[in-house]
Amino acid sequence: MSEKKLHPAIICRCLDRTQEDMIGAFHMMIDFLGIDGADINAFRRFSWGTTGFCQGRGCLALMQRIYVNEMRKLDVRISPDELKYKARSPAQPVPLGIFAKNNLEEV
Amino acid sequence: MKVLVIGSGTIGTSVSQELADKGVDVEIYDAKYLGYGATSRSLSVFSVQQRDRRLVKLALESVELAKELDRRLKEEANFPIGIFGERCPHVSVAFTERDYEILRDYSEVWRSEGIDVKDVSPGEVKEELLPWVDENSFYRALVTYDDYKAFTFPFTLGRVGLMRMKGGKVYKYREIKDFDTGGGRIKAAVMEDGHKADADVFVVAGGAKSREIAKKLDDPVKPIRVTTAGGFCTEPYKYLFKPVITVESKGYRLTQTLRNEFAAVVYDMGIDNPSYDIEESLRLLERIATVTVKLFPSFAYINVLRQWGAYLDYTDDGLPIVGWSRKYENLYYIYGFNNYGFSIGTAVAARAAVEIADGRRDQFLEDFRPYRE
Repeated sequence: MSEKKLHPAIICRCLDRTQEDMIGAFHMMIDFLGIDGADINAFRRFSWGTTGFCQGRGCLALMQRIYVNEMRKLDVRISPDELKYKARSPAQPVPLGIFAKNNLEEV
Repeated sequence: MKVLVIGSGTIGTSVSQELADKGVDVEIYDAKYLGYGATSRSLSVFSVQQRDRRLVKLALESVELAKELDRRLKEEANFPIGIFGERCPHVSVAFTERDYEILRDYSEVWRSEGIDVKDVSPGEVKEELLPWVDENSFYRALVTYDDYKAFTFPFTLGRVGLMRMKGGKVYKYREIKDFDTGGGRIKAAVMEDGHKADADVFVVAGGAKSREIAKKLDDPVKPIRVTTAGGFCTEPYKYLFKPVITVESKGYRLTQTLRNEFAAVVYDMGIDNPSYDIEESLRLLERIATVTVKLFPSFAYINVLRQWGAYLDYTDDGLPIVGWSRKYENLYYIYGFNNYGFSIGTAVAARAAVEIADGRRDQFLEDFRPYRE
């Protein structure tokens, strides 16, 4: 059977990464860290997904799905705990000036 | 020989990879994910602006070793982007005359190791290095030209890759709860699920959390102070901002990273962090924003995307803790790297690996022993 062609679905709009790119990054991660060292955080770092302008608001669920699917192909069962991702503030991009005080002594 | 390394940050992965290169059987255990802690929250700059001569020497040595690591990652591990960035100027800014005097004292240390230091006025900084800077915002600056930017994650994860190529193993989310000891030796590390990992040598490279491990083993090593730190990153811009900016008086450092984002960290808020908290805080963001906007008024319009908290392990003499335990003959400590783990970690880890694998004592590390006063 011929290899199924992956649909060129965009996973990360901020950094323009397709599903194929993400799966490539996943396998690179497994090569480097092995199954015992890999996790969703390392996947983010190898693929750069969730690190762009949206900070994962647009792509996190898709990234998690790819991670679970690819791990399943390697016969690894992923528990929801392992997909934990720490959402950081600010919830939306905020201009830096908003947080600046007038005097250095205040901070 | 089998070595178990506790911690997978800059130091843990560096020691492990160096050991694996020497044919040692290595296993890394980390309580969290790889690179958790100060490593993944750092600015990843190899800086020669250290406060002690020995540290400057180690920083210069680290740069050479990291260049070699970069080459190996590209050639042997097929890691396309490598880990090493470009050489960049490092501008240490003094807001007041008093800050300037303190900085000048530090610069004598840099000069003593042959580093070229330029003492410049705000106008010269604006003209030569930073066209965005407000020249009325600070008193003077000192500039060195021997720093390098790097990629944090490829650095640690790449090292893990090289280590695994030599047969090393790595385990995430495996917190060591206890140790099996007897006869002045550690026999095995015991995990939460009861799993025991035995080894000939145990290396504690857990950064600030090494304190908890020493406490568990009731080993009276030199105490460390765990402080609150943190940082932020912005949206990416075209890469034009080459220098690294440090404001020593505010514990602040800023640069444009190799991913084109602006990232800034406060490496010491002057607040203890006994619970190893990594929550973001408004206070920290206010300090970063205030210093940044004071120096670069137009940066007030740059969007902040992400903020994080961190903890760092400081020693009172500013030197790291490296060496064998006196209580357990097969226990080796390597932590307490203040805010310069990235800058000197490579060289210290390489030297430590020689001590661990060959049993030779490195005279250069004698000043960093775990039981010094």
